[in-house]
Amino acid sequence: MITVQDIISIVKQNQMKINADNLDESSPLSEQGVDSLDMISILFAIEEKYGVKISEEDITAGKLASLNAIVEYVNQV
Amino acid sequence: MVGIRQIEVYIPERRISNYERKEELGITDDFITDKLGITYLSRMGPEQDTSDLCCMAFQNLRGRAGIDPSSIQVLIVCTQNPDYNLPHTSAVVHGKLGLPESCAAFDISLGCSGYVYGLAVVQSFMQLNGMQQGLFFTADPYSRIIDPNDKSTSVLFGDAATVTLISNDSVFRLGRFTFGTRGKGSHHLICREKKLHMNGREIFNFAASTVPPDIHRVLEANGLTIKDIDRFLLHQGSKFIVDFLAKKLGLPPEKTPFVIEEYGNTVSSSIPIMIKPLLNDLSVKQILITGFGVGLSWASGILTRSS
Repeated sequence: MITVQDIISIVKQNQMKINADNLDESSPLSEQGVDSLDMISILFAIEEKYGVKISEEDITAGKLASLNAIVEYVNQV
Repeated sequence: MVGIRQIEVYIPERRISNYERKEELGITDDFITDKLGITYLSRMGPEQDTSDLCCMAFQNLRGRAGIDPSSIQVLIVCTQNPDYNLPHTSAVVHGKLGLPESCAAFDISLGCSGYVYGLAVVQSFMQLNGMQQGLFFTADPYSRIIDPNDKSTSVLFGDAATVTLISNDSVFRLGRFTFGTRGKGSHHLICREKKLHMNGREIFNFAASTVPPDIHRVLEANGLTIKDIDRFLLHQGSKFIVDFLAKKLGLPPEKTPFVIEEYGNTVSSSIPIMIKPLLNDLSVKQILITGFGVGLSWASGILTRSS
């Protein structure tokens, strides 16, 4: 089972300008300075690390919008 | 053995600015600087065609290298935006340059992997047929197919052309190449009804997953390691993808240039544009080139300075 800290570690590896430790777990990442390309590389890293396949439909439906949502999604797959 | 003798470039003077369109496209200054790395996009004139871009590059080559057109034995154009469906654009260029009828001419339909594939093709063609002088053009003006309202594509691509003189008196000789195709992903970067459509996430995932192992394969095929390479010329898709690949592979930033800020992603022209300034830099002995994109297609190669 992955945790929010696991996702934060992945976000940190992305070397974004924002401080990943300050991310709110329940707010959409897009509202916290994470842009579309950051999300693409974060989701790629999650797919690579955890062997999950994240569909375009699930992204569009907002199922991976926040840290909590990402954790729930990966743990359910 | 034939190899790269000279490269010349033509980038149209006209530019459009990503900064001037940022509000319309809903992007920030940081996104332009840090992710796209592209401030301006070069644009061919309405009166210009793909063959004209090639001819402009050739005029630059003729001026610098003293080329005798009658000595050219093969002319290849890499483009997916030809002047016409038929005839092939290389035939049009052949006519505009007044090359001899003994000269072979054909097109290669490839995008961002096209220069690397094309080098392998032109070398093989010339070697097999005992040729000494050939011209390999890249010219793929995506401005003809870009939807200006498409945020994912309208901020990336610029128009340009290059010409590489392939000669048995080479500056860089060509090593072993690696190639790949993922046709099942071809719909992720496609031109339908004359408009380009790109699934940015799928293209990123494709590049992120195929390019690093392919670079390792081409190094192994040439008996080299990362430390042996003086420059890593990665196709200049965007700053985002070049930075990602460089970081994933542990490539030294000073050896992995990003140069497209002033004109954009020029498709198959992006790699030869970066090779050109290295021709006379004697400190650069081994270059790794890797092109990847539409197809989905990828290819990597090694260039070694001739002794």
